[in-house]
Amino acid sequence: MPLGKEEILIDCLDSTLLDPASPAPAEFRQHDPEMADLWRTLLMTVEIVREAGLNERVRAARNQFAREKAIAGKSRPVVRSLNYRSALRIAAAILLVAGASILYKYNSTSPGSNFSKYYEGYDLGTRRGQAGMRSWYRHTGKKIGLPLSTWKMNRKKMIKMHCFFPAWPIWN
Amino acid sequence: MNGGTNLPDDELIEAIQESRQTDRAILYLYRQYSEYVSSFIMHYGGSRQDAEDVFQETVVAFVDITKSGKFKRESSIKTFLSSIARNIWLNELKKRERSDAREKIFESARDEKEMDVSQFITERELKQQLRSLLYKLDESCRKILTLFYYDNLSMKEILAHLPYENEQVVRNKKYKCLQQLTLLVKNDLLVSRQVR
Repeated sequence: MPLGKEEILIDCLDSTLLDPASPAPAEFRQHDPEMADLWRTLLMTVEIVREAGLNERVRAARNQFAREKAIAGKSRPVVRSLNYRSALRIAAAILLVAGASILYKYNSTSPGSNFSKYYEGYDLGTRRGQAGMRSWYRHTGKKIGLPLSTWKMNRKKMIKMHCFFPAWPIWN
Repeated sequence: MNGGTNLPDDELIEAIQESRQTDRAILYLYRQYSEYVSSFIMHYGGSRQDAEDVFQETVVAFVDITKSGKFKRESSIKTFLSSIARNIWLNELKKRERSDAREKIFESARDEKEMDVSQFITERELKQQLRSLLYKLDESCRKILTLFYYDNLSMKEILAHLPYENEQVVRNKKYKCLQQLTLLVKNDLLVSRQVR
């Protein structure tokens, strides 16, 4: 193919790229398959140049980003694995639930509710056992002495002495 | 557009589509989403280096897709970036011929509701392969082509960036560089077809 034709095609390409509305060299493509093939190759070549230009820009941005990170005190961008992120999320959720429950417990607990939950009121009585039997025991004890009174009481099977005095031997 | 604060998705997409402050938009993507996407790649067996490389490719793909108007905004940018990253990483795993089990686990993690970006990624892989051809040219050629076709600078503006005598010299140089690259692409495509 003569060089002049190729140059004309390149001129057409440049004008088409500068002004997309300008007509593409359709007549070349229709009548000359070789020219049509060259036209496609030229378009692809321009695509490659653009691709390379873009790649250079992205590489420059990558370098700038790395520099920014280095200035910020990190030589490399902080990249956390998804597992680490999931673990952090789970830990945060546990902390949140624990915190919420502590807060709830703190608000719902008062001295009054605590007392009613764990203690029951009772009267401290001064009377123990059967009042009548105790009177009999005292009365007999005054008359005949405590050991005899105890023996008699046991005989009557009214009450065992160790009910009154837990340290009292059981065989008495 | 401030790269440090939160930016609505719509505003970011508009900035990319209109090629307005693209560099800041890219930096914003890095600041906002690199950690999330990197942790995702590392979760699926990638190293830190893998994660950074995949995110770089993800951003390139995202800007490309957004500029071409193929991003329909059916999902958030975060979801879309994750989807792109997944596909790139899956393809990378396939290339490395990792164990089937890992791929199965990875495949099962795909969200069906997400936009299918696998087709875009496959198209991009071809471009990525061809991109290496550009590095066969000398640096001045790469620069002149990038300034003209990516940055859309005029010959006069390019003259301010490069040490050439006048606009005509720049124009001739650009012709030669483009012809050189076109020849490389043509040969590479021919070889690819023959291999298939």
